[in-house]
Amino acid sequence: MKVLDKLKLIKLLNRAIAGDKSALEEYLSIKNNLNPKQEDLIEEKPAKEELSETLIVEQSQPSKLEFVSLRGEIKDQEEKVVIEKPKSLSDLMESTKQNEEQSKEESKVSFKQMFEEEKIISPSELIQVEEIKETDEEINTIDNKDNLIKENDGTNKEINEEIKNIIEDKEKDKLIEIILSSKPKKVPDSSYDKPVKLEMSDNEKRAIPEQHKSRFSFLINLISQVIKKIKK
Amino acid sequence: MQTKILEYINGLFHESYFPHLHRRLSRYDMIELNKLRKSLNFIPENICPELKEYLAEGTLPNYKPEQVFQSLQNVYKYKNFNIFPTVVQELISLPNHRISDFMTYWRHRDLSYYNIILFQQNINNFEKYIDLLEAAKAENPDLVRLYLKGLDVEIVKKIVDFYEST
Repeated sequence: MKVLDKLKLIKLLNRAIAGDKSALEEYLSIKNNLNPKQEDLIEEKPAKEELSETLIVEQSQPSKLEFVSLRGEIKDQEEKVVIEKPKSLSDLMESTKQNEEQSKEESKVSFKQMFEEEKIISPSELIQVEEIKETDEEINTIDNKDNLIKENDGTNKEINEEIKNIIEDKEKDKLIEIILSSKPKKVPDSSYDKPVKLEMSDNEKRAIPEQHKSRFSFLINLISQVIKKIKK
Repeated sequence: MQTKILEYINGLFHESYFPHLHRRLSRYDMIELNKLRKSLNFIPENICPELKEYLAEGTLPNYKPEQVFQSLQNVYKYKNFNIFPTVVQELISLPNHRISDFMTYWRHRDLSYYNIILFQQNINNFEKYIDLLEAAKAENPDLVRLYLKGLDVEIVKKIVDFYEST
Protein backbone atom coordinates (compact mmCIF):
# COMPACT_ATOMS: atom_id res chain seq x y z
CA MET A 1 0.00 0.00 0.00
CA LYS A 2 1.28 3.35 -0.93
CA VAL A 3 1.59 6.36 1.42
CA LEU A 4 -0.89 8.38 -0.67
CA ASP A 5 -3.48 5.63 -0.48
CA LYS A 6 -3.07 5.45 3.27
CA LEU A 7 -3.59 9.24 3.58
CA LYS A 8 -6.69 8.98 1.38
CA LEU A 9 -8.04 6.19 3.54
CA ILE A 10 -7.42 8.17 6.76
CA LYS A 11 -9.29 11.18 5.28
CA LEU A 12 -12.18 9.00 4.24
CA LEU A 13 -12.31 7.43 7.69
CA ASN A 14 -12.36 10.82 9.37
CA ARG A 15 -15.25 11.90 7.12
CA ALA A 16 -17.11 8.69 7.88
CA ILE A 17 -16.68 9.23 11.61
CA ALA A 18 -18.01 12.74 11.10
CA GLY A 19 -21.21 11.20 9.65
CA ASP A 20 -20.59 11.03 5.88
CA LYS A 21 -22.06 7.72 4.68
CA SER A 22 -20.68 7.99 1.14
CA ALA A 23 -17.18 8.38 2.56
CA LEU A 24 -17.71 5.25 4.63
CA GLU A 25 -18.81 3.24 1.60
CA GLU A 26 -15.84 4.41 -0.38
CA TYR A 27 -13.49 3.60 2.48
CA LEU A 28 -14.83 0.09 2.71
CA SER A 29 -14.63 -0.48 -1.05
CA ILE A 30 -11.00 0.65 -1.17
CA LYS A 31 -10.14 -1.41 1.87
CA ASN A 32 -11.69 -4.50 0.32
CA ASN A 33 -9.87 -3.99 -2.90
CA LEU A 34 -6.55 -3.63 -1.14
CA ASN A 35 -7.00 -6.75 1.17
CA PRO A 36 -8.80 -9.52 -0.71
CA LYS A 37 -10.11 -12.42 1.44
CA GLN A 38 -7.91 -15.52 1.72
CA GLU A 39 -10.99 -17.70 1.78
CA ASP A 40 -11.53 -16.93 -1.84
CA LEU A 41 -8.09 -18.28 -2.75
CA ILE A 42 -8.16 -21.60 -0.84
CA GLU A 43 -11.12 -23.85 -0.90
CA GLU A 44 -11.39 -25.82 2.25
CA LYS A 45 -13.04 -29.18 2.28
CA PRO A 46 -15.07 -30.17 5.37
CA ALA A 47 -13.89 -33.20 7.34
CA LYS A 48 -16.40 -35.95 7.12
CA GLU A 49 -14.69 -38.70 9.03
CA GLU A 50 -15.73 -39.55 12.52
CA LEU A 51 -13.22 -38.81 15.23
CA SER A 52 -12.18 -41.55 17.55
CA GLU A 53 -11.96 -41.26 21.34
CA THR A 54 -8.22 -40.84 21.33
CA LEU A 55 -6.73 -37.42 21.59
CA ILE A 56 -4.96 -37.41 18.34
CA VAL A 57 -6.42 -38.88 15.27
CA GLU A 58 -4.72 -39.04 12.03
CA GLN A 59 -6.79 -38.63 9.01
CA SER A 60 -5.52 -39.43 5.66
CA GLN A 61 -7.76 -37.49 3.39
CA PRO A 62 -6.47 -37.26 -0.09
CA SER A 63 -6.84 -33.67 -1.21
CA LYS A 64 -6.15 -32.86 -4.78
CA LEU A 65 -4.41 -29.54 -5.18
CA GLU A 66 -3.47 -28.21 -8.44
CA PHE A 67 -0.29 -26.19 -8.60
CA VAL A 68 0.64 -24.36 -11.66
CA SER A 69 4.32 -24.60 -12.11
CA LEU A 70 6.50 -22.15 -14.01
CA ARG A 71 6.65 -24.54 -16.92
CA GLY A 72 2.89 -24.72 -17.09
CA GLU A 73 2.71 -28.34 -16.05
CA ILE A 74 0.13 -29.68 -13.65
CA LYS A 75 1.10 -31.95 -10.86
CA ASP A 76 -1.17 -33.99 -8.65
CA GLN A 77 -0.13 -34.45 -5.10
CA GLU A 78 -1.79 -36.27 -2.31
CA GLU A 79 -1.32 -34.83 1.09
CA LYS A 80 -2.10 -36.16 4.46
CA VAL A 81 -3.95 -33.68 6.51
CA VAL A 82 -3.77 -33.97 10.25
CA ILE A 83 -6.57 -32.41 12.13
CA GLU A 84 -6.45 -32.01 15.85
CA LYS A 85 -9.74 -31.47 17.46
CA PRO A 86 -9.45 -29.86 20.88
CA LYS A 87 -11.71 -31.39 23.50
CA SER A 88 -13.37 -29.87 26.49
CA LEU A 89 -11.59 -29.55 29.84
CA SER A 90 -13.56 -32.36 31.48
CA ASP A 91 -12.69 -34.70 28.63
CA LEU A 92 -9.07 -33.71 28.88
CA MET A 93 -9.02 -34.33 32.62
CA GLU A 94 -10.60 -37.71 32.21
CA SER A 95 -8.22 -38.62 29.49
CA THR A 96 -5.20 -37.60 31.56
CA LYS A 97 -6.49 -39.65 34.51
CA GLN A 98 -6.99 -42.64 32.29
CA ASN A 99 -3.52 -42.22 30.92
CA GLU A 100 -1.97 -42.08 34.35
CA GLU A 101 -3.84 -45.20 35.45
CA GLN A 102 -2.80 -47.03 32.31
CA SER A 103 0.81 -46.05 32.78
CA LYS A 104 0.69 -47.21 36.42
CA GLU A 105 -0.80 -50.52 35.42
CA GLU A 106 1.76 -50.95 32.72
CA SER A 107 4.56 -50.19 35.10
CA LYS A 108 3.13 -52.70 37.60
CA VAL A 109 2.80 -55.33 35.00
CA SER A 110 6.23 -54.70 33.73
CA PHE A 111 7.72 -55.01 37.24
CA LYS A 112 5.70 -58.15 37.87
CA GLN A 113 6.91 -59.56 34.62
CA MET A 114 10.43 -58.61 35.54
CA PHE A 115 10.17 -60.33 38.89
CA GLU A 116 8.63 -63.38 37.29
CA GLU A 117 11.16 -63.62 34.54
CA GLU A 118 14.29 -62.68 36.45
CA LYS A 119 14.35 -63.82 40.01
CA ILE A 120 16.19 -61.81 42.58
CA ILE A 121 19.69 -63.30 42.97
CA SER A 122 21.43 -63.20 46.31
CA PRO A 123 25.13 -62.24 46.43
CA SER A 124 26.12 -65.80 47.43
CA GLU A 125 24.25 -67.16 44.42
CA LEU A 126 25.95 -64.56 42.27
CA ILE A 127 29.35 -65.75 43.49
CA GLN A 128 28.38 -69.34 42.79
CA VAL A 129 27.24 -68.44 39.31
CA GLU A 130 30.49 -66.59 38.69
CA GLU A 131 32.47 -69.54 39.98
CA ILE A 132 30.56 -71.92 37.72
CA LYS A 133 31.18 -69.61 34.78
CA GLU A 134 34.86 -69.46 35.64
CA THR A 135 35.10 -73.23 35.97
CA ASP A 136 33.28 -73.64 32.68
CA GLU A 137 35.75 -71.30 31.06
CA GLU A 138 38.62 -73.19 32.64
CA ILE A 139 37.20 -76.50 31.46
CA ASN A 140 36.81 -75.07 27.97
CA THR A 141 40.38 -73.80 27.98
CA ILE A 142 41.62 -77.16 29.31
CA ASP A 143 39.60 -78.98 26.66
CA ASN A 144 41.09 -76.75 24.02
CA LYS A 145 44.56 -77.43 25.35
CA ASP A 146 43.82 -81.14 25.43
CA ASN A 147 42.66 -81.00 21.85
CA LEU A 148 45.78 -79.11 20.88
CA ILE A 149 47.89 -81.66 22.72
CA LYS A 150 46.03 -84.50 21.01
CA GLU A 151 46.53 -82.87 17.64
CA ASN A 152 50.21 -82.41 18.23
CA ASP A 153 50.57 -85.66 20.10
CA GLY A 154 52.57 -87.49 17.43
CA THR A 155 54.99 -84.65 16.81
CA ASN A 156 55.37 -83.99 20.54
CA LYS A 157 56.22 -87.62 21.17
CA GLU A 158 58.85 -87.59 18.48
CA ILE A 159 60.36 -84.39 19.83
CA ASN A 160 60.33 -85.76 23.38
CA GLU A 161 62.07 -88.94 22.25
CA GLU A 162 64.71 -86.95 20.43
CA ILE A 163 65.27 -84.77 23.49
CA LYS A 164 65.47 -87.87 25.68
CA ASN A 165 68.01 -89.45 23.38
CA ILE A 166 70.14 -86.31 23.35
CA ILE A 167 70.08 -86.11 27.16
CA GLU A 168 70.90 -89.82 27.47
CA ASP A 169 73.78 -89.52 25.02
CA LYS A 170 75.24 -86.58 26.93
CA GLU A 171 74.90 -88.42 30.22
CA LYS A 172 76.43 -91.54 28.69
CA ASP A 173 79.38 -89.58 27.31
CA LYS A 174 80.12 -88.21 30.78
CA LEU A 175 79.96 -91.68 32.32
CA ILE A 176 82.19 -93.15 29.59
CA GLU A 177 84.78 -90.46 30.22
CA ILE A 178 84.74 -91.39 33.91
CA ILE A 179 85.27 -95.07 33.04
CA LEU A 180 88.09 -94.32 30.62
CA SER A 181 89.87 -91.77 32.79
CA SER A 182 89.64 -93.48 36.17
CA LYS A 183 90.63 -96.85 37.58
CA PRO A 184 88.32 -99.39 39.11
CA LYS A 185 87.88 -99.22 42.89
CA LYS A 186 89.00 -102.77 43.38
CA VAL A 187 89.69 -105.00 40.45
CA PRO A 188 88.08 -108.28 41.31
CA ASP A 189 89.85 -111.40 40.10
CA SER A 190 88.09 -113.00 37.20
CA SER A 191 87.07 -116.57 37.70
CA TYR A 192 88.62 -118.01 34.54
CA ASP A 193 92.25 -117.67 35.80
CA LYS A 194 91.54 -116.95 39.43
CA PRO A 195 93.98 -118.75 41.76
CA VAL A 196 92.09 -121.04 44.05
CA LYS A 197 93.11 -120.89 47.66
CA LEU A 198 93.69 -124.34 49.01
CA GLU A 199 92.77 -124.48 52.64
CA MET A 200 93.27 -127.74 54.51
CA SER A 201 90.48 -128.95 56.67
CA ASP A 202 91.09 -130.80 59.95
CA ASN A 203 90.45 -134.16 58.37
CA GLU A 204 92.93 -133.37 55.62
CA LYS A 205 95.51 -132.37 58.22
CA ARG A 206 94.96 -135.63 60.07
CA ALA A 207 95.34 -137.47 56.78
CA ILE A 208 98.91 -136.28 56.36
CA PRO A 209 101.16 -139.36 56.00
CA GLU A 210 102.68 -140.77 59.20
CA GLN A 211 106.24 -140.49 57.93
CA HIS A 212 105.99 -136.70 57.82
CA LYS A 213 104.50 -136.68 61.32
CA SER A 214 107.21 -138.90 62.75
CA ARG A 215 109.99 -136.82 61.27
CA PHE A 216 108.45 -133.69 62.60
CA SER A 217 107.88 -135.12 66.08
CA PHE A 218 111.40 -136.62 66.10
CA LEU A 219 112.92 -133.21 65.51
CA ILE A 220 110.77 -131.59 68.20
CA ASN A 221 111.71 -134.32 70.66
CA LEU A 222 115.38 -133.86 69.90
CA ILE A 223 115.23 -130.08 70.41
CA SER A 224 113.31 -130.44 73.67
CA GLN A 225 115.83 -133.01 75.03
CA VAL A 226 118.76 -130.74 74.17
CA ILE A 227 117.13 -127.82 75.96
CA LYS A 228 116.49 -129.95 79.06
CA LYS A 229 120.13 -131.10 79.22
CA ILE A 230 121.37 -127.52 78.90
CA LYS A 231 119.12 -126.45 81.76
CA LYS A 232 120.41 -129.23 84.04
CA MET B 1 93.67 -142.03 -2.28
CA GLN B 2 90.86 -141.92 0.31
CA THR B 3 92.77 -139.34 2.41
CA LYS B 4 93.27 -137.21 -0.69
CA ILE B 5 89.54 -137.34 -1.40
CA LEU B 6 88.86 -136.37 2.23
CA GLU B 7 91.26 -133.41 1.97
CA TYR B 8 89.52 -132.29 -1.21
CA ILE B 9 86.09 -132.53 0.42
CA ASN B 10 87.39 -130.62 3.44
CA GLY B 11 88.77 -127.91 1.16
CA LEU B 12 85.43 -127.52 -0.66
CA PHE B 13 83.40 -127.57 2.54
CA HIS B 14 85.35 -124.91 4.47
CA GLU B 15 86.54 -121.36 3.83
CA SER B 16 90.20 -121.08 2.91
CA TYR B 17 90.87 -117.94 5.03
CA PHE B 18 89.29 -119.41 8.16
CA PRO B 19 88.84 -123.19 8.06
CA HIS B 20 86.26 -123.14 10.91
CA LEU B 21 83.76 -121.44 8.62
CA HIS B 22 81.66 -123.38 6.15
CA ARG B 23 81.45 -122.29 2.56
CA ARG B 24 78.24 -121.35 0.78
CA LEU B 25 78.10 -123.98 -1.92
CA SER B 26 77.11 -123.41 -5.52
CA ARG B 27 75.17 -126.01 -7.57
CA TYR B 28 78.38 -127.12 -9.26
CA ASP B 29 80.11 -127.48 -5.84
CA MET B 30 77.17 -129.50 -4.55
CA ILE B 31 77.35 -131.97 -7.48
CA GLU B 32 81.10 -132.29 -7.06
CA LEU B 33 80.83 -132.82 -3.30
CA ASN B 34 78.13 -135.46 -3.67
CA LYS B 35 80.26 -137.42 -6.13
CA LEU B 36 83.23 -137.30 -3.73
CA ARG B 37 81.11 -138.23 -0.72
CA LYS B 38 79.83 -141.36 -2.50
CA SER B 39 83.38 -142.33 -3.42
CA LEU B 40 84.57 -142.10 0.20
CA ASN B 41 84.57 -145.43 2.01
CA PHE B 42 85.02 -144.26 5.60
CA ILE B 43 84.06 -141.39 7.92
CA PRO B 44 86.94 -140.18 10.08
CA GLU B 45 86.35 -139.17 13.72
CA ASN B 46 88.69 -136.22 14.09
CA ILE B 47 86.97 -133.87 11.65
CA CYS B 48 84.55 -130.95 11.94
CA PRO B 49 81.14 -132.13 13.30
CA GLU B 50 79.24 -130.44 10.43
CA LEU B 51 81.41 -132.20 7.82
CA LYS B 52 81.01 -135.44 9.66
CA GLU B 53 77.22 -135.01 9.59
CA TYR B 54 77.34 -134.20 5.88
CA LEU B 55 79.43 -137.29 5.06
CA ALA B 56 77.12 -139.48 7.15
CA GLU B 57 73.69 -138.08 6.19
CA GLY B 58 74.30 -135.67 3.34
CA THR B 59 72.81 -132.68 5.25
CA LEU B 60 74.36 -129.25 4.92
CA PRO B 61 75.02 -126.97 7.94
CA ASN B 62 72.48 -124.22 8.81
CA TYR B 63 75.12 -121.48 8.38
CA LYS B 64 73.98 -119.65 11.52
CA PRO B 65 77.52 -119.60 13.03
CA GLU B 66 78.78 -118.11 9.78
CA GLN B 67 76.19 -115.35 10.04
CA VAL B 68 77.23 -114.63 13.64
CA PHE B 69 80.87 -114.54 12.64
CA GLN B 70 80.07 -112.16 9.81
CA SER B 71 78.13 -109.93 12.22
CA LEU B 72 81.05 -109.89 14.66
CA GLN B 73 83.33 -108.94 11.83
CA ASN B 74 81.01 -106.14 10.67
CA VAL B 75 80.83 -104.71 14.19
CA TYR B 76 84.61 -104.69 14.33
CA LYS B 77 85.01 -103.33 10.79
CA TYR B 78 82.42 -100.53 10.93
CA LYS B 79 82.74 -99.90 14.69
CA ASN B 80 78.97 -100.09 15.05
CA PHE B 81 78.40 -101.36 18.56
CA ASN B 82 74.64 -100.74 18.60
CA ILE B 83 73.94 -104.31 17.46
CA PHE B 84 76.85 -105.77 19.42
CA PRO B 85 74.82 -107.05 22.45
CA THR B 86 72.47 -108.99 20.18
CA VAL B 87 75.39 -110.40 18.16
CA VAL B 88 77.07 -111.62 21.32
CA GLN B 89 73.76 -113.09 22.48
CA GLU B 90 73.61 -115.05 19.23
CA LEU B 91 77.20 -116.12 19.71
CA ILE B 92 76.33 -117.54 23.14
CA SER B 93 73.46 -119.52 21.61
CA LEU B 94 75.86 -121.34 19.23
CA PRO B 95 77.32 -124.76 19.96
CA ASN B 96 80.31 -124.71 22.32
CA HIS B 97 82.86 -125.82 19.74
CA ARG B 98 81.87 -122.94 17.44
CA ILE B 99 82.13 -120.40 20.27
CA SER B 100 85.63 -121.59 21.17
CA ASP B 101 86.62 -121.49 17.48
CA PHE B 102 85.48 -117.92 17.06
CA MET B 103 86.97 -116.75 20.34
CA THR B 104 90.38 -118.22 19.52
CA TYR B 105 90.20 -116.48 16.15
CA TRP B 106 89.55 -113.06 17.75
CA ARG B 107 92.08 -113.64 20.52
CA HIS B 108 94.79 -113.87 17.89
CA ARG B 109 93.41 -111.13 15.67
CA ASP B 110 92.62 -108.38 18.22
CA LEU B 111 92.94 -108.90 21.98
CA SER B 112 90.92 -105.79 22.90
CA TYR B 113 87.93 -106.92 20.84
CA TYR B 114 88.27 -110.41 22.29
CA ASN B 115 88.17 -108.93 25.82
CA ILE B 116 85.16 -106.83 24.95
CA ILE B 117 83.32 -109.91 23.61
CA LEU B 118 84.15 -111.73 26.82
CA PHE B 119 82.98 -108.78 28.91
CA GLN B 120 79.73 -108.59 26.96
CA GLN B 121 79.20 -112.31 27.43
CA ASN B 122 79.32 -111.73 31.20
CA ILE B 123 77.41 -108.43 31.19
CA ASN B 124 74.92 -109.72 33.75
CA ASN B 125 77.75 -110.44 36.17
CA PHE B 126 80.37 -108.02 34.91
CA GLU B 127 81.72 -106.95 38.30
CA LYS B 128 83.70 -110.18 38.36
CA TYR B 129 85.10 -109.53 34.88
CA ILE B 130 85.76 -105.81 35.00
CA ASP B 131 89.47 -106.56 34.50
CA LEU B 132 88.54 -107.64 30.96
CA LEU B 133 87.35 -104.10 30.31
CA GLU B 134 90.52 -102.78 31.86
CA ALA B 135 92.61 -105.04 29.58
CA ALA B 136 90.68 -103.86 26.55
CA LYS B 137 91.07 -100.25 27.72
CA ALA B 138 94.85 -100.72 27.92
CA GLU B 139 94.94 -102.21 24.42
CA ASN B 140 92.50 -99.93 22.59
CA PRO B 141 90.59 -97.23 24.57
CA ASP B 142 88.79 -95.90 21.49
CA LEU B 143 87.27 -99.32 20.84
CA VAL B 144 86.13 -99.47 24.49
CA ARG B 145 84.57 -96.00 24.16
CA LEU B 146 82.63 -97.12 21.09
CA TYR B 147 81.56 -100.29 22.85
CA LEU B 148 80.34 -98.39 25.93
CA LYS B 149 78.39 -95.98 23.71
CA GLY B 150 76.48 -98.93 22.30
CA LEU B 151 75.38 -100.04 25.76
CA ASP B 152 72.28 -98.90 27.65
CA VAL B 153 72.68 -95.96 29.99
CA GLU B 154 71.63 -98.08 32.97
CA ILE B 155 74.43 -100.62 32.34
CA VAL B 156 77.00 -97.82 31.89
CA LYS B 157 75.82 -96.36 35.22
CA LYS B 158 76.33 -99.75 36.86
CA ILE B 159 79.85 -99.98 35.41
CA VAL B 160 80.65 -96.46 36.65
CA ASP B 161 79.73 -97.57 40.17
CA PHE B 162 82.83 -99.81 40.09
CA TYR B 163 85.11 -96.92 39.19
CA GLU B 164 86.56 -94.25 41.41
CA SER B 165 84.90 -90.97 40.54
CA THR B 166 87.53 -88.27 40.11
